[in-house]
Amino acid sequence: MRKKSFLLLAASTMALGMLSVTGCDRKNKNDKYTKDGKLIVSIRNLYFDAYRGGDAYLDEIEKKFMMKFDLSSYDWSNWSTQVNGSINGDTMEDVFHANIDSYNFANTYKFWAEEEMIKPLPEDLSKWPNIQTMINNTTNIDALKINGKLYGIPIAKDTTDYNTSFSPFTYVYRRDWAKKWGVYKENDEYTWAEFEALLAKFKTELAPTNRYALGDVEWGYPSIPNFYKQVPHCFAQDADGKYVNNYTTDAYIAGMKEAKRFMSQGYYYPDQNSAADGDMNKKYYSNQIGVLYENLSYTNFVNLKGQLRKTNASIQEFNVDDAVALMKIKGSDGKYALEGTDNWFSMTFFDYKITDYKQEKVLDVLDYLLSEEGTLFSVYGIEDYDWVREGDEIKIVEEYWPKDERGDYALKNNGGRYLRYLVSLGYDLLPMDPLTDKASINYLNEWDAEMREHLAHGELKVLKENAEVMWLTSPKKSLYSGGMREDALKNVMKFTYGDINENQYMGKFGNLWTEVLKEINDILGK
Amino acid sequence: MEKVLIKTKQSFKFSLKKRFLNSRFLMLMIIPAIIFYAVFNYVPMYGVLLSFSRYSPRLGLMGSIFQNWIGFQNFEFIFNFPDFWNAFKNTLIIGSIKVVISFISAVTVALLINEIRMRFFKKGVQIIVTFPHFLSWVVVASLFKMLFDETGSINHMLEMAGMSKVLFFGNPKLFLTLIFSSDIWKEAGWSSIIYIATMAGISPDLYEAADIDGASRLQKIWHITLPGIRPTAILLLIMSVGGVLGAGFDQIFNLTGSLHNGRVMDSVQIIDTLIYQYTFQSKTITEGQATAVGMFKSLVGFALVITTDRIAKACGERGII
Amino acid sequence: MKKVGIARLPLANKDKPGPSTKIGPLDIIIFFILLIYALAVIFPFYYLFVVSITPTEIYANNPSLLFTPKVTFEAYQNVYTNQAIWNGFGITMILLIGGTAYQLFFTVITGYAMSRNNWFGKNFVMNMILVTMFFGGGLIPYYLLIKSLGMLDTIWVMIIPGAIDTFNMLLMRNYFASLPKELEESAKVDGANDVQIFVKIFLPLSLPMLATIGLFFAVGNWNSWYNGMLFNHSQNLKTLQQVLQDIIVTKSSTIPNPHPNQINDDSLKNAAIFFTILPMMCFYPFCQRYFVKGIVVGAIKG
Repeated sequence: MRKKSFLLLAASTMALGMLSVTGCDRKNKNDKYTKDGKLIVSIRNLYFDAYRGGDAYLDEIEKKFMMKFDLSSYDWSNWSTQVNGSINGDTMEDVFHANIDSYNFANTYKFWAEEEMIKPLPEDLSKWPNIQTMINNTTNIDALKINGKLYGIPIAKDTTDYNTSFSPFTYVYRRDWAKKWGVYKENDEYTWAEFEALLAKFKTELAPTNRYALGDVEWGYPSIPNFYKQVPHCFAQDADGKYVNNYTTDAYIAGMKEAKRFMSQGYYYPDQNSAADGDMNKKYYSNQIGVLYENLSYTNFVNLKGQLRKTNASIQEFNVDDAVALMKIKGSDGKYALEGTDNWFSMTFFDYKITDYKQEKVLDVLDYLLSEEGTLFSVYGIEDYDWVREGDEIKIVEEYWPKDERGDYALKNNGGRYLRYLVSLGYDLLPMDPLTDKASINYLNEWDAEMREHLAHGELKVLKENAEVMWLTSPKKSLYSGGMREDALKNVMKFTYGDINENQYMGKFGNLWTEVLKEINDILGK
Repeated sequence: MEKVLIKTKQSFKFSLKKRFLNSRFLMLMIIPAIIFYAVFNYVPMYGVLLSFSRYSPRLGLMGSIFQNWIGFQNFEFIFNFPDFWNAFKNTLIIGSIKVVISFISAVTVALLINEIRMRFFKKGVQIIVTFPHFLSWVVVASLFKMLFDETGSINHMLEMAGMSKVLFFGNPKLFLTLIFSSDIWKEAGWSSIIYIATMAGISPDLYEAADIDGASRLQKIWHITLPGIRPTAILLLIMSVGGVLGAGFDQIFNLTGSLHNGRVMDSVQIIDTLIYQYTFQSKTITEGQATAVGMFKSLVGFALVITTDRIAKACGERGII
Repeated sequence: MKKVGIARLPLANKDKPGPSTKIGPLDIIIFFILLIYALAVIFPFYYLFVVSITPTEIYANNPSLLFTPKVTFEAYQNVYTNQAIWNGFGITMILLIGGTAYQLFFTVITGYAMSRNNWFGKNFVMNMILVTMFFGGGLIPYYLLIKSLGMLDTIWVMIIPGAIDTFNMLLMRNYFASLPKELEESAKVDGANDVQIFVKIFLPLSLPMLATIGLFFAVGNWNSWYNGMLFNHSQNLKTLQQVLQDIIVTKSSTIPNPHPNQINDDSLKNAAIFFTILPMMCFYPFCQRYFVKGIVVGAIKG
């Protein structure tokens, strides 16, 4: 009897001991390890397509964290098909990446969270201060919390100084042409009348060679109503605060009529409606249009510049800075207008099957990459090898940085940079990157600062839907609002081309709109 | 098919065992096929039940079917979808026009190639015109876009000829013409092959007899060639009717710049594009609803085939079923 | 005896008697119509090629050009040095050779068995196959099936599910059925079994038809992308068509690439398109007659 109880005691002590041991390093036997003891994590992200792995920097991170990354990428054109395929088949990678916006929110993020297909982040993020800070800076973060839990990391467009309350969806124009034809205004600032005068002049000068004054990128047509409308898309508010159809408000109609006038005056590229991805961009850098409405993020801007330089290679005195100048246009109400956006649009998720331990390890890596040390690692590489500190300055060791055939710096294959895309799109890296076109980034930052000043003085109108309606998930809105927007844009296009008149246009917004708006107003108590 | 049936009936005279033994090697050869169809076609077949339930990835397929059974709600949802019936109408119209046009163009091309006498030229033409069949719509659409938009070569040529430019993408009627003509460009040559072969199989005696009667070439085409290809033509028509509801998503999607071309969209919105438009933006179509759409299309296609087949038989033609 | 079957099918109407060999006005009209038609088919390809060899500077400023004053193969160089394209080419070649052989084997033996009248349960199997032409279970069960077979993220998923193509199987069946019955009967009298008859008598007779079906499969494999897109995630398993799609579809620039690619999109795209259709263009003229035969046998007898 005593022997037996002794044995029992011994056994339970051993069990406790083992428990505490496993509790200590918190390893989970469900996780898989490589032979040399590295924790295997599979990660799938849209941005790995340009990256094929196998560089010293990824090895370095793997060694540091005792992890092995199994990286794969989504196809740009089949991203959501692939994400949904793996969610429906329950074959997600440990860490994966999906596009989340207010239109698909209810049926992707919210649905996955409620179905528990994705694992929430740990409640207490204080172990990962950089991730914590970044999440705190996320716009509309409350909308992403389901029952108080955050089910993924919104990938920041920027983590530091790039306040993204508005986006650079605006016009670039050929300042060189404007100067040549005498319609240039100081500091690229144009009133509405001056803008139209410029378009008219461009039209007269360009028409004989079959070119046109103005073009909007395919998702941005028509851009003219931006100077009139209250919110970018579906749901505007009336004087009483009730939600109404933005597309039938007086302001929108006025803007549409202006766009129609611009179209009938022949300012617009007439085959605007046929534009597919990248078409209008191409028109601009091919010298076919004089003013372009586009998302002028750094990449697009530099791309335009590079392409323009290439298409005008034979012109000696061609000044590319004069060919892509940002236009600052005041609407007829005397205000600048820009579209407001969130500072994220896609999220990194964790498979619900991932162990706590593994999730924490991944967060460790991501937090490291967001830290100052990790950031320097992602841009420059390994300290004292790829780069050295000289006082406060950082100097890269030239011989370890790859060059292209023209002798410029080429993109360095650095796994750290790509892993960092899981938490940040890396706009904060641009100022440090030796590849960055400094002139362009400075120019864009100046524009940004100027607009910010206008905003402070109330001279800039930021078009933004209210968060309460934007992120509202109600049965009918979640089902139809995406399609309703597409449908409305079709009718707007028809109206601006004069295919339908105002009455016919108003008639296109049927019962569905009434029902969805009623639902929204009921829920929000308007 | 009928022949097969008769044979089987006769063979019932033999004993079952003997028949089994006699055909053991053939049955051995068919085993891989039975396994293949069972695994890849019949095992997933229970998935059609998803059209009566709401899919939950956590419950899995069987779990969703048993626990989330919602009856006909998915079908109700589809039939009440905004613009569904307009898209259905467009699908039927575009689909049937395509069937007719592809039939006429294929027969015309076949007749022309059949009538040309230079053998080398004939072969060359045949090789060239059948080739586009192998290209994907992504490629064909970008080709047509480059040629037909406002700055494209076609407008350039029109201008050089002193005519005014035509906006092919800006007018529903012209755009539909573009849809149909790109279909002809891609498929007419390929579809003509079968008619050419059928024409070549028409007995030369008939033509000789016609020559003796002094028939002209056009008369011979009308009275001999065309009736000669009638059985094949009807067979193919019946078969193509089944595909009417798949009026060409890839083509329309790529030619409208991912459904962005608002000026023409209303006239080319088909069921598949409508579903895509609402799914892509908001992921609103659940997996159950998508299965229901698929089932609806299969059923309508099947019904169309059966109906056409019956009509053909009633008119004294050979059917396929 | 040697040239039974396919050779008996009249393909060219060279034997067809005409009233005379002299060329009338109708011939000239037909000639010109066909000439215009053929040119209309060729023209886009020609344009594609011209754009792909035109320097950016010239093409961008004259988007509707028909001739190029200056030739550059820069875009082709970019295609040539593109690792992803060659990798995709390798995968596609594996599908083209391995996949085609595998599909051919199963489709042909099934087609043969289905063409013989005298076995137990044939009608049942035939109906079982025909039903699948109209009804399927949808995407999710298929995905789950592939998952449970352990084929996710392997090259097998692009090969194994394609074992039997019903349409091609029916073509094959119709062809075998069109061969004279006496062949089988006399061999049976000599004591050969069905496998022997198939391998020794029918297979040698059907080589042209095998070529046809093989070409159908080859083209299918060359153009294959969907299964790879849905079930595989490794970059290294992408087929040529998937890589081509990555190149053709314009990506919005969401990550700040500090040094964006500055090659003229159009010439690169067109060069990539041209590169992927070039092998077909080269082989097609020599194979075209087999395609024709396949279609003829299948449909006329079907």
